[in-house]
Amino acid sequence: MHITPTMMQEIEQVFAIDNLSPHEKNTLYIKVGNEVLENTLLRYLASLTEWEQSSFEKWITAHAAHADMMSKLLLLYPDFGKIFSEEILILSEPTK
Amino acid sequence: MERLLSSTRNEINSPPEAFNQSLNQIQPKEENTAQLIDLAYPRYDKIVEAPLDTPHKKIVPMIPKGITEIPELLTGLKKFIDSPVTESKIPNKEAFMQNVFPWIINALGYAGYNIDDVNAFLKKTTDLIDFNKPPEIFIADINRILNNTWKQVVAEKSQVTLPAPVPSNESLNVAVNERVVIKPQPTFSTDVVQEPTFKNSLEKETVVDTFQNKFNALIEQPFHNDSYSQFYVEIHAALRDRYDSVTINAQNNLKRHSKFYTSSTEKEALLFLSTLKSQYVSLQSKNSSLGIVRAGIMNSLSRTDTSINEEAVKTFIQDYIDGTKNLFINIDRLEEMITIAQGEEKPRTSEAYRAQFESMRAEGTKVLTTLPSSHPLYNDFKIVVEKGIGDLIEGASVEQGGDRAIGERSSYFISLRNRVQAAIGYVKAEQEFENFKNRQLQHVQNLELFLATNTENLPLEKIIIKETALSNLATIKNCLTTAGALPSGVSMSLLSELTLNESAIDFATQKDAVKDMLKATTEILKELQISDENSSKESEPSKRVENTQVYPPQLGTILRPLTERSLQLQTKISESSVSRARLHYISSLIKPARTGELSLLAVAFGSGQYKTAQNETGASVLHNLMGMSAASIPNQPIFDRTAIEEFLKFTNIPTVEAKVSDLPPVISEITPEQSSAPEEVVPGVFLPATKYSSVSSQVAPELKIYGAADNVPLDPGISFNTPSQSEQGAVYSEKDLHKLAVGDLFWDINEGKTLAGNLPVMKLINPYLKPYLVNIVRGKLNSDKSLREKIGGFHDMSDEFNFGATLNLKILNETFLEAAVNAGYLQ
Repeated sequence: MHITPTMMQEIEQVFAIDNLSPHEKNTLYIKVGNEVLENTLLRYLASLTEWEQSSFEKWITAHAAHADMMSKLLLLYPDFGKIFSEEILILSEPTK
Repeated sequence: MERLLSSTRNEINSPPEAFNQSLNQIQPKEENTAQLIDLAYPRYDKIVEAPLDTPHKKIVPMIPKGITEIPELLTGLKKFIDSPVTESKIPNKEAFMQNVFPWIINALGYAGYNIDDVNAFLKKTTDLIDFNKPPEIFIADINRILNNTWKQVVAEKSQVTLPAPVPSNESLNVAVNERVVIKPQPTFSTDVVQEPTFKNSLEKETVVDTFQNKFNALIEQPFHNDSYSQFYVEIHAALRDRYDSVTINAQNNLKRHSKFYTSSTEKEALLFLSTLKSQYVSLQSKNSSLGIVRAGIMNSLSRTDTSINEEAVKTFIQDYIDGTKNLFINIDRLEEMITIAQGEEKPRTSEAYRAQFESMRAEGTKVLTTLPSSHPLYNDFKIVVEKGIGDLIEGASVEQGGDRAIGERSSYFISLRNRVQAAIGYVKAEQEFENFKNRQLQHVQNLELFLATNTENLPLEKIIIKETALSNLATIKNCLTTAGALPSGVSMSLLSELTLNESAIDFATQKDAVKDMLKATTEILKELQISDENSSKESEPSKRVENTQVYPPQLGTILRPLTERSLQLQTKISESSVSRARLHYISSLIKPARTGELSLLAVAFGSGQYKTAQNETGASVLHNLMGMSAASIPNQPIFDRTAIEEFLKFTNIPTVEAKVSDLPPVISEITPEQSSAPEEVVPGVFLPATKYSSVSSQVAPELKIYGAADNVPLDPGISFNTPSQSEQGAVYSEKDLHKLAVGDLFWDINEGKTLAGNLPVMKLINPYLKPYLVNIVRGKLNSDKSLREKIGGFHDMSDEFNFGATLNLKILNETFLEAAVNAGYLQ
């Protein structure tokens, strides 16, 4: 399953952001993404030792420019992926 | 003789009534001399001399004016001094300290010496008495000093009827066989000027003018260091003498009831005294103009090469005379003020006390009205204000005896007054601090909210700044939450005691600390081009309307919980071991926009607002999206699966399953070139392929992404095999080699970025054991030259690096591995 352009358009309609400019949409995505990532990272890093945190940071730094970094990250650090999923799903809870 | 001894013993055993209690209560150790001096003085005298608004007084009155009012004190002192000390009563130093020492202090105090001089005097005296000698010898020494020195001192000083200059420490010379000589106050040598009398300004000006005349004459003569040095000393001695005289006079005659007695001259004189003191201190300070002059003189005069310094010395001396002249003028002015102030009518002591107590009651009542009745100190404080101050006022009334009553119960008044003042002061400070805390907490929360909701889309460097600001704010909030909290169960009485001892909560310091932190944070916000003012305005509801116009109302369902959760986590961050800077640095490297898309999709699915044809749940959709997100990006290279597998060997991920059906493109699109390349896990350090982990197969295992609903299997532990000989002898690739560079951190793994710390084997080691393993390997390297040569990069020791040489990380890793196995760190 891919995030297709059509899928994104439909999602934008759900949240009524389809009228925003591309820049505004991108800003919104970054904002939401940042929040989710920070929450995820806080929980994940807190479970690691300082050395492990440092190692994780180095890995991210070394792979930041790789387009497939996120996939590698989720493969190599399954606990991170688990928390990441949880954090995203938490967002939908208040709307249920 | 026997009668005399008996008499002496009785005197020592039975000091005058006025001292009995005090001497019994206080251990007469040297550090208690100040306290003993306090007790030696009649309280009436102390209360007359002590300024009511001064918490403590360092200078003892020169002559206790009220001493004659307690005849037994005077009699006891004289008897003590007149009676020789006996061996039977003073067998050792301890007995001397217990029985003689307090009397000496009393004698000196009676003679009018200040505490510093008394202490210096006593120290020198006790230094001269050798208690290791036979008792008859040191007893004789004590009596000799008693007769030759103390008796004379007391007799001479007691003749003085007016305050006299305090002798400096240096002026006290004590010798066993000669009487203590109190050097006369510095006078001007007769060939320079006549001894100043300082009776009027004309004469005082003459003194300075005479100095100037002598200096003019001195200049005409051949330059000689000693002449100028002597002349400088004369000027300074005259100045010091005059300054000491007038300041002591001021301290003894001003400040009396200064808070309540509105004599303009006295107030002016007090202010001027402060100015004069500052002027004099500046003369001593190395950084002031006069201080520099003084230092210059001393420096120049200390040199032997006079030809170089002659002009400089003359200039310095002239400047010093000018400075001294200015000080003399001000000293004269102060003296005149003191004279005028002394002639002004002053209130009776009881009246001054009563006025002070009334003022305290007004202040206390005001504080009480603002104190909530739920406050833990409310009841105690109410008693203090209503009962404590009432007792004071009543006690100071004419009906109760007025001045006489205060004189008789001075310690009661002083003690109670100080406690009440401390109580009022503490509650006031505590209330003010509470208000301060509330204001600052609100301010910090506004800033946090503003930063959380109005600084999106920042570049990386700004994100770091923003996070630093957020970190600061969290710290400030934490400080404010805990600062100034009253210890549970603390009574008003205890707090007053703590306040008097300056050991209560220091609100001022805590305020300053918070202000400093807020100031620092404001500076950081300026770097974001956000000012405090702007942030306050932006956080107002009217301004936030603009945000809801940018983000449609539908997004509120996601943005609000996001913001709330973010704010909650800010607190958690400050409490956790995670560095905020690291957290946001990593966050900025992971594509947040892509994550945002994922998040919105998940929320849409989860809320049922968007459905796929398969009617999947939010979680399952999210799983799929996450697993495919990289592969779904058009024209992007697929990740290097082999490299990841190499890495996995050292990250100790035992089983990684893949939903192959979900990830077919990932596996099928691995290119041979990518799979053969070692993974550069850390920049500059390449992890070689080894089999020392539980994931030893080069065949890719199944991969699985664990979702929220999945149970992640527990780590079964590390399965470790000792390397075979063939592996030891493997040919290493260039990627296994590391060129040592200056600045490389090698051993200290606590730094977290060392080469040793990044070796693959270290991932398998318990972090607590890593430093020990490093030490083991270093020892091995130190003792094994062939191993050092094999690895390369070392000189004779493990910490002697050959920068520029190549070091074989793989052999080093194997060395670590072997050491870890031998040490039992790995199985």
